Amino acid sequence: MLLVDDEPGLMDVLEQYLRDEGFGVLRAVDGPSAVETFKRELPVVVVLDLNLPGFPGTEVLRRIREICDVPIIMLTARVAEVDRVVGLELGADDYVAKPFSPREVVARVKSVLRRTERGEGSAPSREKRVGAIAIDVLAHEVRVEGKLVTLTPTQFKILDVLASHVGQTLTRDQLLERVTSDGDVFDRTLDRHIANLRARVEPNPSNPRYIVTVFGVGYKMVDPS
Amino acid sequence: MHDVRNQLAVAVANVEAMRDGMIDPSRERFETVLAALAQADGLLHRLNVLSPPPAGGDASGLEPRA
Repeated sequence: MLLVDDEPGLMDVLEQYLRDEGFGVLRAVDGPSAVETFKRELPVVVVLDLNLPGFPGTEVLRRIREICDVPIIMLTARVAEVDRVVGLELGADDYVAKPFSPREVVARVKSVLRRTERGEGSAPSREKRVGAIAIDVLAHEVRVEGKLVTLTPTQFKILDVLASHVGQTLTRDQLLERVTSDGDVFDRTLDRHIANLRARVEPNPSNPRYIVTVFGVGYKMVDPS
Repeated sequence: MHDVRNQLAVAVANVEAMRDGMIDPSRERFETVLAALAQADGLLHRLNVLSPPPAGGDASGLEPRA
């Protein structure tokens, strides 16, 4: 598992409790190293402080979610942020408010892993597959029927987000929220990105089978196979 | 206020860990706890200086614990 906090006096103690329960513990002390360690080691659960140097825990959460649905438990001293973090918006699985009992953190970790093992979550995987489209999230590569296609970073993000929610309609706002960390896509250009993306992955872009428009709402990815 | 909670988190976690026998109650551990409490105290002091307590109220913003 991966433990991310910038307070060594807290990390030492949490690590001790988690090791006592048999967990192998990796540590990271800031946003960038947390994401890097996650990509390299693909831990089965992440305990993540919201307030980190580099970039904040919310950004770590977002970047990990671009890769997979690994269970993530947030630690936060900002009670007001809990709703936003645990709600659909950022997709944390649980949170523990500071100050906390270390036993409570261990209990939440075990609980979230039990839920995952029952199949309510999924283990980290680097490849998403929808029909003939295969997305390698770590290599940032997309293959259609085994053939590599070239996508812009924005097209890749849109495809990745849609493929993470197969069968679920995402509103334009939800898509923009998940895709625009740099504010580089505006509402009116989303349709153009979708059109360009279809041109690269759809067998017949004028009659899309994978990326379907839900009129008046947004877009949905479907698995035609 | 979140910085105060961060320091309290360090103090609480270390004291609990010593109680549970998870870490040795070394001098260094006690220093960690004392330093965290001193920082929390300093932060609360600054908060009180910046926002004086309303009449009959408590400006610490600490919520009562159950």
